[in-house]
Amino acid sequence: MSHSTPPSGLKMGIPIPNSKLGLWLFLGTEIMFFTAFIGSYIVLRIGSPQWPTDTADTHISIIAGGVNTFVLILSSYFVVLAHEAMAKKNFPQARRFLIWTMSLAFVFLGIKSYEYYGKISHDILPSHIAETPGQAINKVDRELEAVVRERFKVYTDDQLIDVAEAADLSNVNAQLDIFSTSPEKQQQYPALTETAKADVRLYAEWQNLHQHIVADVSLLKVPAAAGPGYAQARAALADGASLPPLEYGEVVAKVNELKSDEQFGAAVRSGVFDPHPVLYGNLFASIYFLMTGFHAIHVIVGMILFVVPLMQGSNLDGRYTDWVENSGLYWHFVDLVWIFLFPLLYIA
Amino acid sequence: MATVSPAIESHSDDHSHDAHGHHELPFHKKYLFSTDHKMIGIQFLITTLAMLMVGGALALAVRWQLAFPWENMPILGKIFAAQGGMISPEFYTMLFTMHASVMIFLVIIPILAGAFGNFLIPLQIGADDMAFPVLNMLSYWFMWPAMFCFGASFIAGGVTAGPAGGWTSYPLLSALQAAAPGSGPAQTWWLFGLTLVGVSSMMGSVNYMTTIINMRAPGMTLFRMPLTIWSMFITAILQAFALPVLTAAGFMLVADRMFGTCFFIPAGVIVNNAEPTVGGGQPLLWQHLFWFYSHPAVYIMLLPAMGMVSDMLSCMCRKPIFGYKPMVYSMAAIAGLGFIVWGHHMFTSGMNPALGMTFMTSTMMIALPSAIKTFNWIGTIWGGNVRFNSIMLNCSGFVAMFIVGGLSGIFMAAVPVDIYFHDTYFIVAHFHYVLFGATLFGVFAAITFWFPKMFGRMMNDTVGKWHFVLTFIGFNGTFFPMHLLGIAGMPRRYADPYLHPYLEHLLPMNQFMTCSAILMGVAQFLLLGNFLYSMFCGEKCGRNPWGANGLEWTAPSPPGHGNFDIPPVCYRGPYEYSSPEATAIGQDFISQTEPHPNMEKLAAAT
Amino acid sequence: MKKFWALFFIFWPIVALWACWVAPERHWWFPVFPGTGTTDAMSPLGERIDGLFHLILGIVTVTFVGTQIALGYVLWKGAVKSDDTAAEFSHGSHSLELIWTVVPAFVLVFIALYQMDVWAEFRVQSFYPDQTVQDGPQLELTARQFEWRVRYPAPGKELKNQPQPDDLYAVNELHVATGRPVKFNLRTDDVQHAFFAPQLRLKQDAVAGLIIPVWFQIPKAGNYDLVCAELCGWGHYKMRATIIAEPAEKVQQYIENLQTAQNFDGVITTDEE
Ligand code: HEA
Ligand code: HEA
Ligand code: CUA
Ligand SMILES: [Cu+2]
Repeated sequence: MSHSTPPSGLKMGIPIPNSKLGLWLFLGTEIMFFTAFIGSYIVLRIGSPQWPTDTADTHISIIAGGVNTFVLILSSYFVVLAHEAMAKKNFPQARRFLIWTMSLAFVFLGIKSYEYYGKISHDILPSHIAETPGQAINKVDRELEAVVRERFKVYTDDQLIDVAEAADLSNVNAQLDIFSTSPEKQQQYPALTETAKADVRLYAEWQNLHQHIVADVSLLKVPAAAGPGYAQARAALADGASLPPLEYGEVVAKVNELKSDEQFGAAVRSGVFDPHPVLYGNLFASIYFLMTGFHAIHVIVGMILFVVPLMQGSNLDGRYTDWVENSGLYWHFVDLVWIFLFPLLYIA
Repeated sequence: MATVSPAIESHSDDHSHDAHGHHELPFHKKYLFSTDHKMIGIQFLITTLAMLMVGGALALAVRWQLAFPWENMPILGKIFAAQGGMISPEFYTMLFTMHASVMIFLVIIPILAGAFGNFLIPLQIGADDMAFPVLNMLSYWFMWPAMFCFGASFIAGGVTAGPAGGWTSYPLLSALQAAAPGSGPAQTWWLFGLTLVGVSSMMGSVNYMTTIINMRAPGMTLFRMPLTIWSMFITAILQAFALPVLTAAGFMLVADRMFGTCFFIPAGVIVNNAEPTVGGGQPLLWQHLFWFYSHPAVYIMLLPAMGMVSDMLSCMCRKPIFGYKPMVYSMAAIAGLGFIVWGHHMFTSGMNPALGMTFMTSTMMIALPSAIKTFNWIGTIWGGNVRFNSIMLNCSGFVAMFIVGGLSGIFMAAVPVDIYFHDTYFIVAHFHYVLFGATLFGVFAAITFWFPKMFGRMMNDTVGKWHFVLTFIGFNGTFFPMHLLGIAGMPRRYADPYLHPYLEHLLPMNQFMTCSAILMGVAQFLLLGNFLYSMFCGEKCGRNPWGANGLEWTAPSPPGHGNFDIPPVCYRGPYEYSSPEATAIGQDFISQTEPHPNMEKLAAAT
Repeated sequence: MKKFWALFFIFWPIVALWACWVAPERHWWFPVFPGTGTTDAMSPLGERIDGLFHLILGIVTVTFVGTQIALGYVLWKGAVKSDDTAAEFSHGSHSLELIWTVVPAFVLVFIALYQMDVWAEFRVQSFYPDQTVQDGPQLELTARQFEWRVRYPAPGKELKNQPQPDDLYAVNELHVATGRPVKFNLRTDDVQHAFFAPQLRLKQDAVAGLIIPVWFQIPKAGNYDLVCAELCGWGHYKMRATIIAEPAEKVQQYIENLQTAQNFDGVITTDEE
């Protein structure tokens, strides 16, 4: 454009090309953008009596974060080299350095997604986390029910048993019982007989747990939250007194027991997370994914910027020197942001 | 090219022919997807004026409900399809929410920065276009998705369930889908619209800053820039560094609504028997983030008008601006202090009381630069050779109204008094005086002043005067009584205040205000008519109809592509009206491009 | 015609001032306390707020009149000036700039400092009246869409943050003792609301997740309006309640009635003696 850089001497502005000046100003706005997040993080964290810092709760891996920090810094270094090469008109070399940057960026994203996977596999997601033992217990209850439904699907889906209301678990369960008794069914579906027994057991286990939860009575001290055992326990009480309440530990024990069951253990393991209340866990997860997520987006944008010169392949030339310099500038910024996020989220 | 050496004489012609070289552009390139800052500016202007009608229509609907509660609204009632023309409470909340959103995000901000910023910056600094013309075009075209989102938010949740959180949309009302009829998809659309407007003005502001810093004509030193440019520059800085915070907050709120995060949502809240919320967020955090942007934003909505009014006053009084540098510094001070006063919107919000005191002090201090500017404007008129045309009248209106709006601000800045006034109509009075009374009157003047440069034709002055008088009367009739309503303790955002015995007797007053509002609304059609008529049939004018000094007046009206046929070189400040130099050449003005009689001065200058 | 415009800008402030002047007698002024015709604040804090208001009103009126007269005057001078006489050529005056920077600065700093203590007394716990510290919060006021819920501790007990089985509840009506500072906890069940008692000049937002202690003192027995001043949904305008200020023993009696009513079969007997 005719007005990119006017003849020096009479130029009123500062000796920086518009594109670069514009980028600097843009980065200024970007800084404010992340400042808002960091500020919010600090406010929220100070405002929360006990912030989860134990990596057992947060499943934060300082190693991964540290490595990523190093990876980014290294990639930034290669951008500098690339720009120097461009300036020296050594374009093949510039390309090599850019490719290095790109691959390091990929490594960064790889490690990041590995970390995300670690969170997701422990259900460390906003609004998924139980913050009190009570919530944790209810979570187990819900998840266990889901498992049961999943198992029962097998029978209802391919009409092995005829139930009007497939959603009605108790009904399905009743039907399943027949497997254990009726010989013709057994020879009809020999394969299923065993699983049917197992699933009936699983159902019973869940029901028992569920009733204990609803009635809030101890799993161990009170045999069954419904039925005769419960009635006896109740009768045995001096009036006014109340049954021992359900304890978090008991539930944990029960879950582990179910998980170790050789028949449906696998299903439970896959369906039920370890009950693990984390106070302010949801807030932590929210801010963690917000900050790292937006940083990751910026990383991707940066990579797109680098793809453009790389797509020129072997005929990369001087027209891209400014481009590489500016996208390099942007890349340093992305790097800088991470250097702030890492200590804030991983170490502090 | 705007910056070629004046020494090379030949340059000017080959420049001018390459300027004409651009000329023949296909229609869509010239008028729709133009990258010419002038066309983009005009696009912004017309769009925002149309939006002014929409926002105004919404306002009049609000006024109807306040004057004739629960009575069927004529005309508008049908348009808004409120059931049988009657405004329901939830519809009322939507009305003022959208009224404010449209007026602030689609009228005032874009008309100042978008329309006038775009049109004036390159012309007044002697550049041939913005630094990033394409980015500039995008900043306009991002307004459309924004307007689409706001539009969608009207209907997203069913007619009567538009966004209903107020333009401040505080959580939890705006965070929990079940909180109100309007808290559903409508609120989400609203937030998208907000973000897009943000993107638009973000592009704009980076562009403006770069252009002003780097593309000034030779001799256009910082302290020779017209105050319009200074104001646009400072506004751009405010935009660039305050807006990202709102954008960030917007993303957080959207996440709270859609992805189960809980930044603004404390644990155990139950709305409309929905599931109790989990998580330990803080609703006040939103208010801090929102006002961190939105207080600077109120100056974004004022500073450009201040700058333009300074230009126009000086020209219409044929007299240098009184205290140029103090004007610049005070604008800078307003911008600086603007970043540390946001808490004055939260005095009663339950935030740490110590903050209340600090914010009160800083808020008081921000009145100071405004004071300096006010007195300087009066000083400018003093002893001037005043031309009483519609421009001068609107500018004087600006000053008078700004004083009122500003002074009401002082009451609210006083924390204890604000305990009583917060969220009463006193506030509503305050910000309409500054937003409409100051800014819009400034804009009306600016439209008339630069219209010739935009279209090469003059607007009709008599109609302009009538428009001013009627608007001025209607305006004060509408908003001055609001102070009294506020003192009488009438809370804002009330669909039916008269439910409360202590407010019953205020009905007649509200009816009077509504009539004035209708008068004001009707008056705007004079502007509309004058605008459209003059666009095609106004009397043609030369380069410099007002005898003004700025560089823009040395370009043809309207300027061709590339703006200047003679590359401008700047030799002096923009306000040398009636200076000895001027009288020496027998005029009461002397253009910034007029070379000095003796060249040593020039050497000294550049 | 020029003169007309100058006069126009001198004329409108006069109208504005007139409007403010006649406002009080037309009740366009502070809300009237029902029964008595008075518009005074009905609480000590409110009185001090009114005091500040009137102080600022004075300062601002002077500024308003001064600036508007100045504006009118310079316009008038411009109007009477004949076109051919040249305008003054002046870039401003440092001494003037100095004056109109320093003078307002003093005024503003004065306003700012002058009211710190009122604010402190209203919001800073350590400045609360001793009484409120001694007998702790009297009741808990919970705003919800769209009503005010009052929770009293059972007679003789004091208020706990956790609801107690023997707590006493009322809706849209809170009884407080006259003549002594009363502190209460302000909460919300759902979105943000604001406690606004116009005649007491008292306002405090109720924010989800916070328990905000508020205090006031009502010397005069009677019914005071309580409204909601923070947008909280479509019913924002109809969150109407009454603060009933009455002698301590009456409040005591009211609470006992509540208790009996609550412990019996739940037929609440209204008790507006
Ligand atoms: C253009 C927009 C604009 C401008 C310029 C201002 C200017 C000011 N505003 Fe305003 N304000 C708004 C727009 C604006 N405001 C809006 C939209 C809201 C409401 C948001 C919402 O809740 O919806 C608001 C709300 C608002 C509040 C919150 C009230 C509440 O909700 O409880 C406060 C409180 O301090 C305040 C104060 C001020 C002050 C002190 C100034 C000062 O800058 C004014 C300074 C000017 C003068 C003082 C006049 C000229 C000076 C002199 C004549 C010199 C002599 C003066 C003295 C010695 C006193 N404003
Ligand atoms: C720049 C901002 C702006 C402007 C110009 C206006 C203009 C008006 N406002 Fe607005 N208002 C706000 C910003 C603005 N308002 C804000 C921020 C709020 C707070 C909302 C909230 O609480 O969340 C508010 C709230 C608000 C309320 C309080 C609602 C409530 O709290 O319950 C009221 C009530 O009377 C009101 C009335 C009006 C009126 C009568 C006008 C009149 O000036 C309108 C006059 C009519 C027109 C101007 C339309 C006619 C125009 C044309 C015909 C166009 C012609 C021109 C061309 C096309 C060339 N407004
Ligand atoms: Cu509750 Cu408004
Ligand atoms: Cu503000």
